[in-house]
Amino acid sequence: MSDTERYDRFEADERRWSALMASAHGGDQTSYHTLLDELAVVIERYIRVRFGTLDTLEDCVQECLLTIHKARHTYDTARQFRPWLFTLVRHRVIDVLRQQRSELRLEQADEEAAPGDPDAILHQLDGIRVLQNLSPDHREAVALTKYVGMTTAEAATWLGINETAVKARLRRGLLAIRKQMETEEYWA
Amino acid sequence: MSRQRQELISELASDLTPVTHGGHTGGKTMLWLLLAVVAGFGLMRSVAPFRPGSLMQLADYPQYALETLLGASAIGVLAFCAFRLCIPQAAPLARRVVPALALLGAWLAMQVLALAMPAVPPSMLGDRHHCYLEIIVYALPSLALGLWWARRLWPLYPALTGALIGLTAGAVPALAMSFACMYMPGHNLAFHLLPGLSVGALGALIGARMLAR
Repeated sequence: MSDTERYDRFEADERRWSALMASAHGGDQTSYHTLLDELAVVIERYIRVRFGTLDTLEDCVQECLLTIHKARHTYDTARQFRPWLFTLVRHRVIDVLRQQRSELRLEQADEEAAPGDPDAILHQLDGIRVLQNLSPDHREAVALTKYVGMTTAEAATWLGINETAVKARLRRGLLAIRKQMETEEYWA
Repeated sequence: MSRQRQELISELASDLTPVTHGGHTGGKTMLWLLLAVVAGFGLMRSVAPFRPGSLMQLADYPQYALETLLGASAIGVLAFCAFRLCIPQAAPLARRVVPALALLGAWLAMQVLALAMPAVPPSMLGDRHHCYLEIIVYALPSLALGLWWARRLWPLYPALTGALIGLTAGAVPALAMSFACMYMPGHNLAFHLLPGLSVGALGALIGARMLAR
């Protein structure tokens, strides 16, 4: 597909989704059903590309659909649809991941189980877009604490550096991811 | 697509109700500001008269007029910024918040400047005994209403939204008090602006709990 075709399709989707949501605001259930059907596919792809193939992908998609339903009154039909949609999706997915990570930590504490092999998990994270643009130091810190589930102290031991350095790398890495995602959505 | 997801979509579609004011916050912000101003100035006036000649001083002292204009602008921009934050949008957070905070900073800077160069000849005329308490009390109804309205939208930054609503709610009576109470730069800062800004901290605390989803 050429760039022009891709742009035309992008614009057509934008106009169609905006029109479908405008109809949904008027109470049209058929338009709303069509819109949610299409968005579910787009959201799934968005999560896959940015966060990798999560075990809880289906949960994330359904949570996002619920959020869109509850927040639909905040969409202004005079504005672009994608920035509104992806801002909601990004915040919801991060909330779901945070919630599941804390649940996982509780389970691990109960079972006194150690996290999985970090090397293997880091290898699986190679294709995830949010991590690709980070420097190697920042990527390691983010991946070990946010994906593998280590504490900063455990990550420090594993990397052979002190905990303060891990915290600094983590903070800078998360800031870089946030800026990257805000820019992507702003220009989406 | 999984069957479970299909069922959810069908359920959501059948649960659909029409939306009347999709994504517009301008009218709501104007109404809230109006109520905050009426509550702030009206309640203050009902408790005790304003400092004699305070409104005329706006025409006589340009620095005082500029100080007031900056305060009023900061209040307006803060309010619009606070309610815009309740609508999901992709513009970077800093770009949305910095203009409002810069105006608030400029207003504060004018008050600090007045310590060295008073905008109006300092005097005890119009002294009110519990001005700092009045500011906090008059800000509370606006804060409560603002947070309630914000909750009905979709704030993604609960503490920040609460803080901005609190800052606006506190800044209105703080500005009104600059007409109602005596003019002494140090007093203005410590007994008018500080209590007004502390409502921002209160807003952040309440917002973090009340606006979180």
